[in-house]
Amino acid sequence: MTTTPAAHRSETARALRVRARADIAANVVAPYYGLDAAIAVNPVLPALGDGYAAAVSSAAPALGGRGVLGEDEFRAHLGAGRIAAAELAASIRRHRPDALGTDARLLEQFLAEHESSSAPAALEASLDPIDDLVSAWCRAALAPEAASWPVPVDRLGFYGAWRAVARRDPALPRSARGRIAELPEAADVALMRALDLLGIEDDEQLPAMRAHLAALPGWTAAIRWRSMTTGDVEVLDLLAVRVALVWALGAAPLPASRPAGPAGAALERALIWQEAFEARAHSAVLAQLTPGAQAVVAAPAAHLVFCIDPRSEGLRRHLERQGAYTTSGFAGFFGIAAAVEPLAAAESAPACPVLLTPRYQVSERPTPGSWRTAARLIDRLGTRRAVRAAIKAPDAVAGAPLGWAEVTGWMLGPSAITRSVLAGRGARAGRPDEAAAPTLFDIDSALTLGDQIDTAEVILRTMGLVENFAPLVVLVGHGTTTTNNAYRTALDCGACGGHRGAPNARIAAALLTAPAVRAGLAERGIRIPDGTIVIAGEHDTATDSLTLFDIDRLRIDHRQAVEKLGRDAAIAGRGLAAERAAELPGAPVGQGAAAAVARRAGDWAQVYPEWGLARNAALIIGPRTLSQSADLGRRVFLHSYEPQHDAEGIALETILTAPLVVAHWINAQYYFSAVDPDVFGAGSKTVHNLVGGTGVVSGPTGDLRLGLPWQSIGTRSGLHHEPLRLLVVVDAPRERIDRIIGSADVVADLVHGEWVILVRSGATPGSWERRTREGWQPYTHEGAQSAQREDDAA
Amino acid sequence: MTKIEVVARTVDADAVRRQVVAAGATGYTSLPAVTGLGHHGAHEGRQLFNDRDALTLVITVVPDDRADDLIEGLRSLLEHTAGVMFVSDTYVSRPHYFR
Repeated sequence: MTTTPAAHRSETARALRVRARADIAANVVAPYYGLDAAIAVNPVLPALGDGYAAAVSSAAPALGGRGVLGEDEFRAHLGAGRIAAAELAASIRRHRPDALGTDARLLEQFLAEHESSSAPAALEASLDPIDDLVSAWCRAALAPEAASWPVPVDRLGFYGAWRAVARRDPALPRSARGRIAELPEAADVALMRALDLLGIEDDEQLPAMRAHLAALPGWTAAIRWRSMTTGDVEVLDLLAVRVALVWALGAAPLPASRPAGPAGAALERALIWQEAFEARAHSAVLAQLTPGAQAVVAAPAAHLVFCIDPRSEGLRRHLERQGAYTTSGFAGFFGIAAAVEPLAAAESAPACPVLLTPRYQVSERPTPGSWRTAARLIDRLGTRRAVRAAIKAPDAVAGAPLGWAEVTGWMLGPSAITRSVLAGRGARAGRPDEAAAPTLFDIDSALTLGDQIDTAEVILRTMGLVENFAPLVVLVGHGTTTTNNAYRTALDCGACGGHRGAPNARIAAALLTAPAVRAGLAERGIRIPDGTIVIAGEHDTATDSLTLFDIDRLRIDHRQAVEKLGRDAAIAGRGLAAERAAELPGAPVGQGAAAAVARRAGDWAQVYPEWGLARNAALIIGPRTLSQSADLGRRVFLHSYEPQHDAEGIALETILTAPLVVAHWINAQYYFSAVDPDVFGAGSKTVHNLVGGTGVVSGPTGDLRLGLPWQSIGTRSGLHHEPLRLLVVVDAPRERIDRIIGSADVVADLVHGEWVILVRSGATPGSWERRTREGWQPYTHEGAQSAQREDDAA
Repeated sequence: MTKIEVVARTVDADAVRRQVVAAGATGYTSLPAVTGLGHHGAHEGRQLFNDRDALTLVITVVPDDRADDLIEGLRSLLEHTAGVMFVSDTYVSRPHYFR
């Protein structure tokens, strides 16, 4: 079959080609998942297959950002001792095998090659007129509740409504309005016509569309996500509006070109610096690991399964010090791919990783006999929701907030004064979706018994939890308590779709408790002893507290064991709070730390309730014995894996194709937000304006902000997060890892593209080997180790 | 009637479906998590955590006079994304559903 010559294509075929190119051009930036479920994502995810170096040199610069720290920043790290001379010299030697001489000589030459930063500066914040007009329309169309006047998007669509409004918009010149009126009503045909009128030839269309979309990466990313979910707008519509405006206003056919990223020698320098910067943090992780070690606790009183989130590492470490507890790590959705409908909620929400589509819906219901309590709770939640709606209602009417404040200020004033003066003291920081009544999750209405058994089996086998059950097993989700924080969901569990993890943990615990499910599991070779109870818990990462659920129905002896765990978890939480407070801006250290972190969680003016996943540096996939004695400083994702229980490699494939991917997304989001906060970060929380649930803009208008706010990555004195690529330690045979890299494109892209540094323990104790595109190679950080020795000696 | 079948990565399946709808097809069938072996290796469709990395099969049937336009559009899409397209003559029991 041959391609039809352009002159003979029908208009429909040409419009379809334009549509196809728009969809391809959209890959200039990853979808942005919004604030309702702020899922971390690598902003240049579509360029994953091109590798990290290409992202630094082209994918990030295409969006107007830089993909690596600047030379001046790396030199400052060298000057401050964060990068040791030995680490930089080792990195130079790895990249330039022919380089000879002492470390000092290598450094002297390397530093003399280039005196100052070659990284492109961030773009100026001011928008050109086209960007300004497109941004304003995006805001009006995608968050119509915040628009000053009704926009007919529901009826006419994104492009159609713009055309209807713009042809009568007095802010546009009369000639432009006339041109807009001439354009076709259908977005694809209009885009095709506007491209023709601008003289953009067939083979120039794709790069032209990419450049136009890259001009406003935030709105492009938000529309990509919206097209995948509600489907009421697509990137084609955005392009139709933008290109039509360009033609109507007689503007330049293409946006101003971006500064180029580092290439050639400059790129090599950037990679040398980056590796030197990563050496110490990665080496510090590897130095603490103990491949082949025996378990410290032979017969644990309780086994707690935590989310792989690095914040869990802190609580796990402190809890294990309290007694006969063992812990493991698993993605915090616990294999529950459900949409969850909390008690009294208006609708359900996906509570599973964003890589999954929910397969069933589970509703929270009052337990038998507690309907009266539940009814009171539902009334209370309804009243709270109505009050909030009434307070917010005038926001949608121009001029109304001022008058509304005049009328209601006396009512809300005392509350505002109390919240300001007491700053979190006295008031418990609650969440409207917290159920106070005894409830259960109705798994029987959601899943047949067969499906329940299937799900339970998959959960246990993937966790590697198929034998030696402790008498108490606790599945611990996590969430955060914070007040007045647009980025709250960015601190909740990413595995649970940016929601708290308790519902998933409770559903999984209910499955593993049901007698019929246990009987079914026994027939499949997984025997959970009758004496083993499985309950759910939730780790609050802002207050360091552990809440245990559904314990009122337990036998008295079981309840005593759970209460003992609760007491030990409280001690562990206080220890963790003291550790975290040392890093939180303005937090007291020592005795008052636990109270202080709880107070911050309820303080409506607090922009640093916690640090989230800042400083994440590694992912460890292996048994707990690999890291049981380590203090990993809350910098490591810990995913449990027992290679001897996974001869076929199915569990490892699951881990490498999903939790690894999610960990990389998180790592990359923090990385890019830190290396270029102006383009890939969301700016300061203090100047954010919310655009519905879609996102934020800094100030009154402009592009939607991607990534994390500055308060998630830095302080007044500079970056808190260190932009490092993820070190991935896998305890598995070489061939098993190779087979998965060979069959799963996403894993190959991450490893071959050097987005992650994947290592396994080598043949001799203490040695490591790294998987690269070329195969397995010895992996040493001699520079980091000698730097560490120097530090220790000092 | 012409049957057009496209096997694409699930992340690209939305774009395929948009082509089908924009070409005026009256419907399509979408099969998630199809498995197979191809240019990019084996796709086994394991979905415990990740169904975005699987493959999706989109099937549509259009009158012959609409087929060329749709094939043109899909070909443009597949020039830059992984996937395969199959085109064949077909017969349907209720032709008026597909006009």
